[in-house]
This record gives sequence, C-alpha cells and structure tokens, in this order.
Amino acid sequence: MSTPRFPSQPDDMLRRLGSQVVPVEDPERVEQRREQVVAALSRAIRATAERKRRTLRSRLIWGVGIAASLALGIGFAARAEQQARDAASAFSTVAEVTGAVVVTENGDSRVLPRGSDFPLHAQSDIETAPEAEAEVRSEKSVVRLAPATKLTAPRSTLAEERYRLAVGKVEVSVDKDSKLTRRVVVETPNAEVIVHGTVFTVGVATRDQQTTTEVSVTRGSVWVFQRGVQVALLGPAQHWSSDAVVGNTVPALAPEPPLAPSPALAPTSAAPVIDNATPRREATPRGLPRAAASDAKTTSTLAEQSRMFQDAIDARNRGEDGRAVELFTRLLSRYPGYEEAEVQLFRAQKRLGRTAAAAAEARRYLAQHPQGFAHEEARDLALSSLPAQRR
Amino acid sequence: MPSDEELIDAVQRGDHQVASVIYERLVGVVDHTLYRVFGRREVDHDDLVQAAFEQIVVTLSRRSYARACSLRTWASSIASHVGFNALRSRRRERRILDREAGIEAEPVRAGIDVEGEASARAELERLRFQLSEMKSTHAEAVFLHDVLGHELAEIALMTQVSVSAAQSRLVRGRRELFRRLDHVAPRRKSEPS
Repeated sequence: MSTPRFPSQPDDMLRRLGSQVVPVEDPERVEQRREQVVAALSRAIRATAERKRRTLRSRLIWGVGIAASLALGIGFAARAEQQARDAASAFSTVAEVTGAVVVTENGDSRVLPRGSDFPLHAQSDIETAPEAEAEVRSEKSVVRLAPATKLTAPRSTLAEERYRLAVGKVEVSVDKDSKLTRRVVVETPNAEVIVHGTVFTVGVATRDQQTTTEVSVTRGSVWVFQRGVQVALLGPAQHWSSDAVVGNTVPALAPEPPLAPSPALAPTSAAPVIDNATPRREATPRGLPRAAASDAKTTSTLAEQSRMFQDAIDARNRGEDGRAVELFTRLLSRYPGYEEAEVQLFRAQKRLGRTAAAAAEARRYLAQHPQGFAHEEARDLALSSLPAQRR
Repeated sequence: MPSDEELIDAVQRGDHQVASVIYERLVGVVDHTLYRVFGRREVDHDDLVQAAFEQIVVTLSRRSYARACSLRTWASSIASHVGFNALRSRRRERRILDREAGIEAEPVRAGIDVEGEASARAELERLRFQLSEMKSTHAEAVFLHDVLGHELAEIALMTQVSVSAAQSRLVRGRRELFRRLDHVAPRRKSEPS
C-alpha cells in the first residue's frame, strides 16, 4: 500500500499553491477589465501628481512663511538692539512732545510726532512751535521747553551739561542727588546760569530790539554770570532780569562759583544781593549801592518769603492745587507783586478748573507785568476765558 | 517599449499616458498573484486588480520603490499585500463562506481523480485560510518566498526591511503556519539554528 496522499506536508502544499495553473480568461472580460483599470490608473497618476504638487506648494508656502517669520524676528531683534544701542549712545532724549517740535541734528531736521522719544547723539537744535512743548532729559537734568522756544543742546562733557537758549523759556530741574558731578549751564545771549541741584526757569525775550534774560528759581540756588563774571546768586523764589544790569560794571574781585553751592548762602552772600521788597524781586548787581544797603531785616523778609513760596510750590508738586492756591494767595497778600507767585497762582487755578478766577489773576498779572516772563501765557488765559464770562 | 525606469519617471512626472503601458507590463503578474492568494478569480477580482495598480502608482509616485528590484517583482509584492488584506478583511467579516457559496467552482478536468482533486483543493483552501489568519508580515514573507519563489534578498527589498529581518519573518511565518496545520516545521538551510 502506497503512502497516503492526504494530508500533505505544508511544504508540499506551499509548492502546489505556487505551481497552481492560472486558467485563461475570456478575452472579452480581459478587455473589459483592461478598460476599467487603465482608466482608473490614468486617474490615479493624475491625482497623485496633483496631490504631490499641492503638497509641494503647501510646503513651499510654509517654508516661505517660516523664512519670512524668521527674517521678521531677526529684523525686530536687530532693530531693538539698534534702538538699545542708540539709547545707550544718546546723551539726552527729547520726550513729552506736544505740538510741533523740530529737532535739527547734524543738519538733518525732523518734526517729532506727539508723545515720541527722540535720542540726541550730537549737538542738536530743538525748536518748539507757539503751541508746542517738549522735554530734554539727561541723566542729570530735565529741561522743559515752553512754547516758541529755541534751545541748542551740545553734547555733554564730564565737566558740564550746557544748553544754549536762543529765545523762549525753559524750566530746568536738576537732580541734586545725581552721582554725576558735572554742572548744568543754561547759556543765553547775555547771561549764563550755572546750577547744581535746583529747579528754575530761564526766559529769553526781545523787548525794544533788546534781548532780555529772565531767571526765576523755584528751589535750590543758581549763579548768574555775564561775560564770565558772576552777577547774581539767586535763591528760591528769587528772580533776576538782565534788564536791571544793563550797563552794569562788574567788580574785579568777583569770586568763582563753588562746585556745590548751598541755597542758604544766597541771601547772605557778599556778592549779588536780591531786593526782595521790589515787586520784580530783581537781583541787584554786585557792587551797586543797593547791594550795600541790604541788611538783616531784608534777609529775614527774604527767608520768610522763600519759605512761603517753597511751601506753596511743595503743595503744587504734591498735586494739592487747592492748597497751593491758598498758600500763593497768602504769600501775595503779604508780598504783593511777587511775579512768580502770581504766575503760579493763575496756573494752579486753571488746573483746578476755576477758569474765571484764573483769568482774573492773569489779567491782574498782565496789569502789573505787561512784559512779564509769562505775559503770553497770561494773555492767552485771559482771552480764552472771555466767551465763558460773557455767557 | 519604454524601460522600467522610463515608466517610473513618467509616473512621477504625472504623465497619465503611460497608464496602458504599465497595465500591459504588470497585469500578468498582478492577476496571477491575486489568483494564488484567493485560489480563484473572485467576483471582485477586477476591483482588486485595480486596487493593486493604484497602490503601485502611489508607491512609485512617493518613491517608496527603491528601484532595487524589477517592476514586476515590486508589483507582485504589492498585489500579494493587497490580496492578503482583502482576504483577511473577508475572514473577519465572516462572509467568506457566503461568498464561496455564490462562486461557481472551477470545472473539474476530465480523466482526473475527482476525490483526490477535491481533497487537494480543500487542503489549499485550508492553507490560504491559515495564511490569512497569520500575522500579515509573516504570511507575506512565506507567500512571497515559498509560493511565488522570490529570494530572501528580493523580499527584503520589496518589504523594505533588512535581509535578516526578512529571514526572521520567514522562519517565524513557517513555524506558525506549520503549527496551525498541526505539523512540525522541518529545519531548512535558511533557518537559523
């Protein structure tokens, strides 16, 4: 008996599966399948190629997008770094811009947009339009430019920070706590104001074809020089005008200004003496008879006046305008004609929204000081309130 | 007649004019491979042929085909993959018997032992069933090597694995198939000791 044919070994079965005869198909069916499959194959080739193109395009778009994002990021980073480098190399910055302010640096002029910050790298001319204001900030000081002011800001040195005021008015605030020992100088066509730690204003105006410099001190002390000679030492609430020293002869023994002046020296200094009793409170040039007439009573009155002014200014700085109005009114009732206090009074009233009272104070100021350093501001205030008063 | 390389380049360029040339070149191997997987031409044989061709186009277009073997060898690999997937899918759906019931059996040749022929068919059917039940990579390795007669190196290229991985699949596949068929797998030269 032969070996049983079934079940076969798996090897056998696999071999048989491989050698299985594939029957020939009906030609009609073969042709039918050919048509069907070739058409499907053609579609598949087209669709695959199209899908590939879409994928490629999509990758290209993504690639371009990522490259653009990278380029943008690098650009922003470079710009930020450049700005940081600019800021680091700038010696001061023009800030708090309102209205039209033009800065000319290396012969290039540009109008600064409102609220912008502009770093100064070289000597620059800053000019404010009649309705514009700006600030020049350095590490040592803040110089606030009033409307219609032209100021030149040269590059600072280790020894000094110098500004040249051609016309207009600046309010200078010097940080007395700064570690920088350089002095801050405001130069006008006919004077030089040197300061270390104080708040003061300097105005330059042209009256009767003559340039006049006005200096008012809010806090601390300043030295006023003319032609290189000290002509006045001003303390808080004191005012100096170049009008009063026209033709003044400067004494030969004028001392050099100390590096760190004390405000307390101002009234008792032997050199410039301030006449506190006069409405304009002008600093009397040194060597004139009025200076010799200064006595202890004057000093005492000046100290009292300074203290009252300082109190009022402190109240203003704290934002207590109501209190400031009260203190300025009290000061003026005791020392009428105190120009700086009158100006501060109508400003404080204006800030409080007391337009009519501010306008009345402004008119009073204009009557007393028709060419005062704040006469334009007072006139604008007086005029602006007229329609409201008529109503 | 364009070479394999030219046909592949045309497909990658999206030139659909070559569809008929590709069909003529590969239809024989695709048809035979599917026939061996199923043991007959199923009612959806044309659809499976079409699916295999579409898969071939996709792999050529995606450059999955490394051009290391002939286009026909590649096509047989794709067709067996498509065939086994379809077979497994049918087993899972448990519709295979219903389908078979509807298919006209192959005519029995005259002068042949009818009982023996029926037993042989039943054995082959059992073999296909077990192959479809196995892990697909193992079943395909066994099918490509032992049924279609491809070399291990070719199988490695077709399935994109290393030769040792292909050999491992083949050995494991045989062992599993033999176990399923209640036979002990004999050691072969290609099998590691």
